Amino acid sequence: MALILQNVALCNNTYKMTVSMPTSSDLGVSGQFYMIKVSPEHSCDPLLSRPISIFDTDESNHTVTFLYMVVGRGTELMSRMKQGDELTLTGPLGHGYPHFDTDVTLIGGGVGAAPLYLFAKEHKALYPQRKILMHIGFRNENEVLLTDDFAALCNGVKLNVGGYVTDDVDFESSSLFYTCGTMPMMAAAAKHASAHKKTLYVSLDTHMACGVGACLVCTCKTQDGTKKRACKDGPVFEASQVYDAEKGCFYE
Amino acid sequence: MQNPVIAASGTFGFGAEYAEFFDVKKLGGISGKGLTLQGSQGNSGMRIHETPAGIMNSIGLENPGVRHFVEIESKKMREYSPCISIANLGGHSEHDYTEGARMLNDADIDILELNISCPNVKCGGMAYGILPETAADITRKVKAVTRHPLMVKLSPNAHDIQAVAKAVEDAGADAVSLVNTFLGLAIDTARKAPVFNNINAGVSGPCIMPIALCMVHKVCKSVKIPVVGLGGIRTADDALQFIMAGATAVQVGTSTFADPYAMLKIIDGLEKYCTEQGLSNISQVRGII
Ligand SMILES: Cc1cc2nc3c(=O)[nH]c(=O)nc-3n(C[C@H](O)[C@H](O)[C@H](O)COP(=O)(O)OP(=O)(O)OC[C@H]3O[C@@H](n4cnc5c(N)ncnc54)[C@H](O)[C@@H]3O)c2cc1C
Ligand SMILES: Cc1cc2nc3c(=O)[nH]c(=O)nc-3n(C[C@H](O)[C@H](O)[C@H](O)COP(=O)(O)O)c2cc1C
Ligand code: FES
Repeated sequence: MALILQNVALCNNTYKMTVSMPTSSDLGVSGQFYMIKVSPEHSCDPLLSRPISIFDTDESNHTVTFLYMVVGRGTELMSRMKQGDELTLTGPLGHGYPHFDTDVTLIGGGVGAAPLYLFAKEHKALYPQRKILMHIGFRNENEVLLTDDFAALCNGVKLNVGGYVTDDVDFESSSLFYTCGTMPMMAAAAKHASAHKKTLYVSLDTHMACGVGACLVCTCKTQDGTKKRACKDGPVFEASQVYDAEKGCFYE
Repeated sequence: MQNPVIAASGTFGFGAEYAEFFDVKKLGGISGKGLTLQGSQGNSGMRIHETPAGIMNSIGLENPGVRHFVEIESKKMREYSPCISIANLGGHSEHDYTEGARMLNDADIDILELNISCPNVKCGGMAYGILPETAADITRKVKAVTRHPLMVKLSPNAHDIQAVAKAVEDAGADAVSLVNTFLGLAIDTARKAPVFNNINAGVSGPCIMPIALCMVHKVCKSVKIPVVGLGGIRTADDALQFIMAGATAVQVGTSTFADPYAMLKIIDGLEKYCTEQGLSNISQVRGII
């Protein structure tokens, strides 16, 4: 259970929700997510909770912030929740993005860039001398957000509106890449990273039911033929583990 | 069993995942993920779809195989004792079932649940649970090789579920559990195609409860062996309805996805009901309808 402190629209379809968590709980790290119950208490329609990544955490106030886009019924119900409402959620879940002592390039697609914000914050705190370059893409002008937030943390922010954000990225400029966005966008990033033999971390966007590793709704094949659960073994994976460079798509 | 609430197969892994959230030793039992002899990667494409107050799934029995269960998972499940361990066994052929059951003789489990009702595998699975003759035949063959008490999991898609229940009882089943998922269809109108690669998928969750309850009630009237009731149970009152309809125990599946603590709440609710009604055991209201 958490208490909603704020739930506001940032631009047309994207909202920011900050919740106050019980003081004993672990808030989580970048790339981890929460399963959020979107139906009212005692209701089971819709039945499944929605996976939403952690956008930001505040240890001193013990809050977690989510950034989400209204795309269907569940996120629409979320957008109608009010300050002071109780929110039922489970998390933090899954494995987040790993940090290494090196310069990094981040590639975010729209609201999908949310977890990369916390990643940049963590990276800057861990390795202040390292450079962070951010590429962020939006479908149109009305959707642009987060650029100032990233500018405050990164050594450079490159914005792409209406095109392919991955086209702007110089895959020779850095050795380590991180991405989050739609599956086609992450597949494009994985294709380039693999061609340039660079390491890339992706956060798989799969449908989920339990979110904790018990139902096998979210499994994906990996390079060695074994199956992994996006919710429990991921959602963050090294791209070469889950992207089939020969076929040019993620393993089914 | 310390209480009549069991985690339903396929919705609770082998217990470890939810053990991170609560003390699973408090459950009456756990039915592990459905096993097949060789293991399986399950179905491709979309595996989940929401319906009003329910879900449809097309997992297709993705599982690590019977051997892995015997060597690893069954031992871990034992750590949750006194919560009882149930192995759920599916198959594509008679050989799969009898060999699987034979191998499971090496596992330390309390009950073997024979899944002749999975709608998500192409051959075998539910096909065995549709007609009384085939259901009885496979039950008899598995009963002949297993050392464990045998519970047969019935399909709500059977032509006559009462007849199937009676037939497996006569063939030696020690208990029956019902229901597995209902065969359903969802169409993606934008793509002009079925949502699932397999076309059909299994419907579960609160939306199926009244139909499942009706089937459990009928089966309880026609067999003498214990009946384990399931299908959409979400609250203690839901569980109580199954018990009043005649079920000895209940299983909870889909509702755990909506609320990981649902089963604990049901156990507490049933205890509270007993206290309020002055019952020494919930079985005092079993089958009163
Ligand atoms: C690990 C992870 C982290 C995510 N983080 C964010 C985030 O920070 N911000 C954000 O806006 N979105 C995020 N998403 C996507 C978000 O979960 C979906 O947009 C949301 O579930 C849609 O629900 P809906 O009811 O509004 O849409 P509907 O289309 O009505 O949903 C129907 C069903 O499909 C599922 N579904 C639909 N689209 C997706 C999708 N893209 N991914 C997974 N399940 C989907 C829903 O959960 C629901 O069960 C994340 C997804 C995953 C897997
Ligand atoms: C994701 C999922 C996976 C399932 N896997 C199995 C399985 O492996 N074996 C089995 O006998 N039943 C399986 N079932 C069926 C459930 O055990 C149960 O019979 C059914 O969902 C109805 O109960 P419920 O409405 O409480 O979920 C599965 C159900 C779901 C939702
Ligand atoms: S969503 Fe259930 S295993 Fe991943």
